[in-house]
Amino acid sequence: MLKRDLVGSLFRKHLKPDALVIGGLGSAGRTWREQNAPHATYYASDPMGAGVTMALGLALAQPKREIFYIGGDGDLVMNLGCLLTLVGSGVSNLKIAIFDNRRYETGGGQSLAAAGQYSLAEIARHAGFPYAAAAAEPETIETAIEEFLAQPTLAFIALAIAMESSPYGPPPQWSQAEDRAVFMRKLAGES
Amino acid sequence: MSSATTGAERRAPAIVAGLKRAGIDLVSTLPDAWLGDLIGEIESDPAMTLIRLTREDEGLGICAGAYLGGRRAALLAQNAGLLLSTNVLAGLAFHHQIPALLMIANRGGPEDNQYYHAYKGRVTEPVLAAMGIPYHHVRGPEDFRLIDGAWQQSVLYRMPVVLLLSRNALYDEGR
Repeated sequence: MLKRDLVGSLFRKHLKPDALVIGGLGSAGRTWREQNAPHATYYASDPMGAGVTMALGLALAQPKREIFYIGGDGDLVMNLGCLLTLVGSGVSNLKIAIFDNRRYETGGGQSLAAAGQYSLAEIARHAGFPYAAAAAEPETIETAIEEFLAQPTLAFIALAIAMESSPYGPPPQWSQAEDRAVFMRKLAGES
Repeated sequence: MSSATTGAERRAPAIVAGLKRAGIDLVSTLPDAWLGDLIGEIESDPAMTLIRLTREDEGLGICAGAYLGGRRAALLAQNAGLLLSTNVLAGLAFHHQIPALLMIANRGGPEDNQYYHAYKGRVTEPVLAAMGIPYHHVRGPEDFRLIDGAWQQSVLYRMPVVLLLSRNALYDEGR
């Protein structure tokens, strides 16, 4: 099993500097936020289940940029059919990284439905993802992340994340709309 | 060829022209029988990108992400999909404050003889009104100017705007 901070730091280390990031809600998004990475990032927040397709929309709008989504398994399975939508879209500039701890961690650690009886990587592979992998071992995780990020295609990785406490933070200083404006102005200034 | 299909061939190009006037070149969809010819028109246009969905609220996520990246997008679906998407719709409107154009086949009204759509016709407008989401009726070609008008309103309001498409807006049935 993998520690969240290790995974977050490796993505920060190996993600292309000009990649754009969509952070999902819950502990996966918080893990990325805690990295203070320089990459332009929009935290999708709620509605739960919409973050992956938000990343797809960004990939369709910015086809020359690498788009990286980092989110949780509960968020993904709320709209699992979106894997077919991603494959059908034909995008090649989108990477999906899922914290696969089989729990609604921020919500109190309750299990996902059928926890332990499925493989998200196999689901993605059979949905038609050109690349879909699972990673669980600290000794090999850096190689796995490098390989995942090096794919020239739509790619998926499920990361077996250890259960760790992930309490809500304090109310944010900025509203979601203010964060959106900052992200869009940063993107406009860069392009 | 049915008169409905013949008519649709006259309606769909004008609707796509309206989308282009609004600067929208990305449309995601989950089909409805009334939308078939319009979807085909979009798919066959090399200047447009069509994304097929498994659930309508995915399309709102795509609209939101596209807007973040500077591209204008619309969702094309039946009002059942609008009703399903209310959580994401409210999230875009009041949390993210992101524009989007929703082109919705407004099933279940007086021009729809399918009994299983009737409930959708009864609740669609009250739900939109309760949510505070702006919506407009597109009853025929004379209303196609509302396509770019609704997009402008969406940007000004920083929230999605819904166009409720009647059958007559999608098919010329000679009425």
